[in-house]
Amino acid sequence: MSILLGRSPDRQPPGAAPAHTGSRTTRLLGGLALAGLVGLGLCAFVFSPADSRPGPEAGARIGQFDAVRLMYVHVPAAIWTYAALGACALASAVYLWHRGAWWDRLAHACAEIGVVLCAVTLLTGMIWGRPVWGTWWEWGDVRLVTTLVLFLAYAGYLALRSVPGAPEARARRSAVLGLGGAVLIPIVNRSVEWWENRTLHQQSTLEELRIEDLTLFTLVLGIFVMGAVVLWLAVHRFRVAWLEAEAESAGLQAALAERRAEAAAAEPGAGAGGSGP
Amino acid sequence: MAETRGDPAAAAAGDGLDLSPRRSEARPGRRPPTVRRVVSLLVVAGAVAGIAFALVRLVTDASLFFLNADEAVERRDELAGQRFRMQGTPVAHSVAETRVDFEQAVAFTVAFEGVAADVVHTGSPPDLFTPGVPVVLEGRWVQGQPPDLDSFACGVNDGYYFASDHMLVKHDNEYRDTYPDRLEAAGAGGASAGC
Repeated sequence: MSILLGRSPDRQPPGAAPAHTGSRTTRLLGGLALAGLVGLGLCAFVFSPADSRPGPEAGARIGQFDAVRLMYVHVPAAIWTYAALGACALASAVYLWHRGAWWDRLAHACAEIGVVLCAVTLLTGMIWGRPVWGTWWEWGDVRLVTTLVLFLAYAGYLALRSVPGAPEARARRSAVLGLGGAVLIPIVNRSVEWWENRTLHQQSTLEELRIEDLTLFTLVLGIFVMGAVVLWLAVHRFRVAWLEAEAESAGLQAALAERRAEAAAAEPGAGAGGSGP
Repeated sequence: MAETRGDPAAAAAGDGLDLSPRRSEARPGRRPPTVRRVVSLLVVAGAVAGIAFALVRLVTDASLFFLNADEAVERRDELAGQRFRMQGTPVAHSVAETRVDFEQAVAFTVAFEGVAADVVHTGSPPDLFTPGVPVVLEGRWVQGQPPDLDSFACGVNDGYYFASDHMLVKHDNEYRDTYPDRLEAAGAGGASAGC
């Protein structure tokens, strides 16, 4: 919890809101993520080869050629979409059990990151699909459409969270939706196996390890680097959510104090402002 | 960490204070709660409508449900005249350019699990169309010989061909350069059948 709150015991009391969203740990994590992104860019675009293998005809090559480089973003984004939305569901379940605001804010942060990653997955998939499959999108494709449904479900979750209302009620309904939406994650992930002849999408490369050498290294590096980026984003987003809640609470306290002062002043014989001529 | 604060609004309401929001107190740059509520609910409604639309399209667009070439050949009588999708791997040395009704076309043979089928695809094939890479074709069975084509090179030439007008490449999950069983597997998939 301390990494998420970023508090230092000598500066802030336990349970207090963080003073800012940065800390030594997040700066270190951010630096590592940045260095990882540079390394990933070099591996993906400079060192790793294009996907090209001998075809069945002499001299002909088959493969995805340079389009394979999108895999180093697409696959990690998909994996971390599942992880982020899975974490949202887990935090939602714990919230429903414990009713702690900490878990509600964690679910919110994870859902936002999951939605962004899901959008990245969809976009990179479409950009990859055009040259490789010959189409941007197929409505009958079960992997594509279930991924879109996952994106829309959690985009709806975020919209529902932003409906003004009592924080407790909002957190409760968000937790129910955050937990219920998680049923889509295994459906999306397993769709290529369950409905093999209703999708153009290939089966998992990593599960069957049909990848090797620098291509495998770059893909695994992409997964770790994306993980560092996701963790960095999650910590900062959580802290922003915490600060937002604190600001909202402080605003409410100030408004209440102001009203109490007005009410006290309006009472007959109370203070100078309330006394008649 | 549990929320430790009580609800200040509820406590204030217990004091008998008027807690109705004042319009003049709205923070600058922030939309009023009513507007925020409407916008948020519109986005929620949009997401729900989007999900419903996507699921309906997924269920009704049954045309993507494809048969593998061996199934399509086996069920040829049953599928006569029907439009459907068929998956197969183009056979090496089978691809030839031709014309159908003055349109550019490509004739080739696909195979799956050792069963081959001749195909005439009208229009430009996708960039990555090549023997050895599976394709999903949309069209129907036609009995007879295609126009401007005496026979299919390396084809089965059994008096039927699949007339396709929509082709998608279905790439597999193989990324190994030195995959030792690649040609063997391609044979099992039918890539080398027919020639």
